[in-house]
Amino acid sequence: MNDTAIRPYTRAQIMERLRAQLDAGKPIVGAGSSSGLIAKSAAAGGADIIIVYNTGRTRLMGLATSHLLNHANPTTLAMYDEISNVVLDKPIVGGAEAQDPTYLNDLKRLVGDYQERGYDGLINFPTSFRSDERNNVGLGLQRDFDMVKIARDNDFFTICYGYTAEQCKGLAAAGADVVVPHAGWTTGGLAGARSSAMSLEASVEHVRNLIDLSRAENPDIICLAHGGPLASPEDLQYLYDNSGAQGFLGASSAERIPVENAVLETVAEFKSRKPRVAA
Amino acid sequence: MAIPERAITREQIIQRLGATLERGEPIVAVGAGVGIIAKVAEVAKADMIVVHANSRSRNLGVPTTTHLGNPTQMVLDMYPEIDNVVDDTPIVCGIDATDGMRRRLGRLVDHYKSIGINGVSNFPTTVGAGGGGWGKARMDVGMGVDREWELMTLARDAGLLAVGNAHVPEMAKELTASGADVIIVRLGLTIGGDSGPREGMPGVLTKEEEVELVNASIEAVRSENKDTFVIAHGGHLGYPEATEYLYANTDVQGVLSESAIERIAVETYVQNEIARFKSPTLRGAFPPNHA
Repeated sequence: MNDTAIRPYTRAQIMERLRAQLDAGKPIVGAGSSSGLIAKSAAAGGADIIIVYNTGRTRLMGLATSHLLNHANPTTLAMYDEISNVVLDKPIVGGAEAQDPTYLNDLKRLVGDYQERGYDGLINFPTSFRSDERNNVGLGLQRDFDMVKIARDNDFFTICYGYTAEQCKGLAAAGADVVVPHAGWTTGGLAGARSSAMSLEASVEHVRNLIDLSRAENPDIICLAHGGPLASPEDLQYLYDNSGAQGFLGASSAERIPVENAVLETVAEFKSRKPRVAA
Repeated sequence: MAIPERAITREQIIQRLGATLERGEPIVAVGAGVGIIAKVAEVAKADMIVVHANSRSRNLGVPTTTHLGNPTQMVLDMYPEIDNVVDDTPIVCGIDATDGMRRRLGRLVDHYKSIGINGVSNFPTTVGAGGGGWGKARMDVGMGVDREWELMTLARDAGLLAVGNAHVPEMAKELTASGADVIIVRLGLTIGGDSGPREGMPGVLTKEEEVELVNASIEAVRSENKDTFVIAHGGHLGYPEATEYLYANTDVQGVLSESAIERIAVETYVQNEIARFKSPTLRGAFPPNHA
């Protein structure tokens, strides 16, 4: 396959691109991108996958990442055009909420909507993974597994966040192409988690365990990591040195913290020049 | 903790801008179409946040474009998310003074004031579009550049900061005569970044031509009012170091950074950060457990 091929991509083409990165010893980097500006800049920086989340809009609004400000699936589906308009040669993956009750009896329609919209794959986000109350009404974790199974049957690429052992095992068994152990809310910047976050060592341990469980289900599954204190390239090197993680999904790390720094540092640079008329 | 209203009067803004210059700092106004830019600009102590319709295009990642919709409506759509996260920095919002759907400009200015906007700006301007003749031609049908002069007077009468965008010195003079508190000398699309023009393209001013335009504009402003602030936007000013030449050769008092922050800086920082995330090395071959 020609690496410069233009979208859309099949699942096989995406897997080939990702494996080529791993064969070269390079981590896979997925970049959460909620505007065309972020997406094209992330693509130019070498991101392997562009990921579109409904929560991303809240980051661009200057808020701490928030789930409840919009209806996830319609929002993510509507964001597609802006991203695909400027991303030509990277797979674009959309965050699909399997627990959306407007797809109560028809998860196939949900997967189909993402495929028809033009997305190259989906990620199970947001996910209501740990609520017994949702499980009790048929809108729990099993929906994630069912959605991934349908996507796999359709030969549609899937990345999956896994918060717990049960979730990681189930997703791997359902046929997820990539699993992303989730280490919690990203620290750092102006709106990040602080004392509530795990330590770096604890998060790497947590990620390592979830990777091992996922690989026990499927030895070929690609394993990335996300969140918690895993917010800088230095943290990631530590993760790669101490686990089998093969890359990283950055969301706040891609579209919140660098944007904050861009504004902070550039305004300071503008402020540091003195007009001759100023006192 | 209760979140305070952002009640900043025209007089207070003018006082703050004067204090900025007295500290030896340039006035730095930051264009923002999304909350995160505005919120962080406030943290970085920008002097004002400016919401212009073309911010939307910058966030789409496409070349800066004003007409992706009705420009006044686009500003009114973007404003709530910016208002929500800015507590103590004046917010100036653009009005297309020739918006045919909003003929009663006074009512529009009052509406802007009623939703907490601290200043108004004649953006987009008819003189920016189509090389300058359009705004004059449209005066024949009551939708010309003279409505931009009227906007300055209305803003000032309403107690809002009146910000005038001027593409040519004559325009700077008229806007000032009509009551503008701040003139923004517009030097054209911001050079650089992924979707800006390049140096040497047709119509792109040289640094020397920018100095000439700024000097002529300042002279025109000063002939009407010695106290009006004059800042510049666009052209070479996409990068902070480029302001040094302008500050050394003109009496300009600061910049409006639109593409400089919301386009070029964001592109650069996101691109560099992702490249850094690609830089660590994996310890084993794929798949590691097969190695």
